[in-house]
Amino acid sequence: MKESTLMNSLLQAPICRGLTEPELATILEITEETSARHGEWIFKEGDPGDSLYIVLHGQIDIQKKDRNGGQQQLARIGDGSVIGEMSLIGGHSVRSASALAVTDAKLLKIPTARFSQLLAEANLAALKVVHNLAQVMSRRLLLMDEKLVEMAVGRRKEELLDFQRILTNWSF
Amino acid sequence: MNAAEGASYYFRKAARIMDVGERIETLLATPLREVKVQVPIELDSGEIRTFIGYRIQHDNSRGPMKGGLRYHPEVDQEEVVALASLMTWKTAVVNLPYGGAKGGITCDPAQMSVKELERLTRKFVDQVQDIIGPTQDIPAPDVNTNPQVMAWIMDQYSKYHGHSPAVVTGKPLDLYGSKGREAATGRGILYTCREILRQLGLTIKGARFAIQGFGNVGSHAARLIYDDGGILVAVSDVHGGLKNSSGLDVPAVFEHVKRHGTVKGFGGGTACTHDEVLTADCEVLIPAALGGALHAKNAPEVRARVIVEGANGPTDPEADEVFERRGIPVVPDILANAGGVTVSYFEWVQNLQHLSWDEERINSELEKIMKEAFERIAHIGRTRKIPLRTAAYILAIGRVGKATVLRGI
Repeated sequence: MKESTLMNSLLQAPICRGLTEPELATILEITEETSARHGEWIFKEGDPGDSLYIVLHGQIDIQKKDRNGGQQQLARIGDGSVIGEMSLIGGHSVRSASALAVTDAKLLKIPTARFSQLLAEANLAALKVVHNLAQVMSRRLLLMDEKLVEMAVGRRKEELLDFQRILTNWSF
Repeated sequence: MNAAEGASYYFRKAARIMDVGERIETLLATPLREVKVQVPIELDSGEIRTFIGYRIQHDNSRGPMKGGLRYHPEVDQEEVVALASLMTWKTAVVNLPYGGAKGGITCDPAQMSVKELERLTRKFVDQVQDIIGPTQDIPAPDVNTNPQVMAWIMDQYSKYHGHSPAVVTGKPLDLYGSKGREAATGRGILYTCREILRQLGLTIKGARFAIQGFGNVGSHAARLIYDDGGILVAVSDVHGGLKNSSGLDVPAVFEHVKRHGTVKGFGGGTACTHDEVLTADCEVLIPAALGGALHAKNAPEVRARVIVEGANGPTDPEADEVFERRGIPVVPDILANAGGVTVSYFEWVQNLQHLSWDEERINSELEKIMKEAFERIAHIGRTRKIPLRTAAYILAIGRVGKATVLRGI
């Protein structure tokens, strides 16, 4: 992809919000372009986590194994989204979830090691990215809270139904 | 473990067998309302004494709450809470349209004059009159309270709310009381004994009974069982007991109690202790005195073929397990002694309808209710292979649970 087109795509990504062109260029310098075919795993839960990705275009499913060994979909994300950010922020050395391309996808890979180096140098571009990342994550937390409340409500309804079923079982 | 703790243990055991879950268990176990009031009165001496009274309302999903009011120095809130829940299960077992409640005042009535007791009772009613009532909560006699106390409650309540005989049951016969109320618990025990003996292929006639306790429950049970041809081989009260393997002359025991205030010293039997009655050789043991009478120590020595619980909570959970292992059926308190609350219900119905049933009708309606409850519980026990007590709690939890779900939480 041409560098100017890449720049444009990056400008759309929430984690690059507020970056000047020279700052974007600094980030771009440490990235590698990569792609994934429809149905291809970008990374799998438990893999070593050494980079984060910005989705330039395409659809990605984030999935996590449940306790029965099945895959639970956590989210479906698209253009401009970031994935694998926990490897950068959380200091997690392994992937906490899997990323599956559900369309052909183009991504920008930012190796954690090189990004950390920029941060260590107090590079303004890197700091701005981290700030944006924090905003993205806090939005995700908010969604997660809503999901939790939904689940709790769902369970209460089931609890009354369960009790009714038990009472039916025990009627004489 | 006291009798009250035993009650909540048995409830939890049944709830877990049904697998209702922790949150439903908590919902069913938690009382609706716990009221604690100050009851200050002026003693005859002019001294002012402040007593503490409780009214615990456990559950009203099946109807107005029902339960006794006791006067005792050891009344405490925790025990009253457990006894209130016991009433919820008891009224549900016999399918009365009631919930459960219990009340008490921490006082020693033996040290008080009749006038002081009247002031105490009226003052207590002043404090709880807005939470009791014929459609809310209907007290009844309990430990150290009697028809006279109920009459005072009715009178005091009526000063606030107009003529209201249905606010309380166990009233004197001359003041809206019901025929058959006094003997009701004992009569319920008679009917229960008939049913459990029938299952063993026996009848009351010719069966041997041991009864611990000769108060309102034990004495009436003894008389009715004797009239039905049963043989009373051992009986006792707090002062002591009597044994006679060929059968005590029950009318003569009554005469003796009338004169001396105790069964102790009666000539027609050999003396024994209050506790020895529990291990007498007999077909039916009726513990009708205190809670916790049967425990891990004496349960292995019980020689009866069945136990019918006249008192509330006479069998602690350890003894209960011993009887289960030994194959001795225990007819639980919430079924066996439900005759009292059942005739209280009849009294309330008569009061609401402003009419009076004859004793024959009372007794036959009581028999119908006790028999039906027994049969249903025995059926649950047989089909699910569980003891009668667990079956009774399961029946009760099912009824209360259904009402709760239908009405909505």
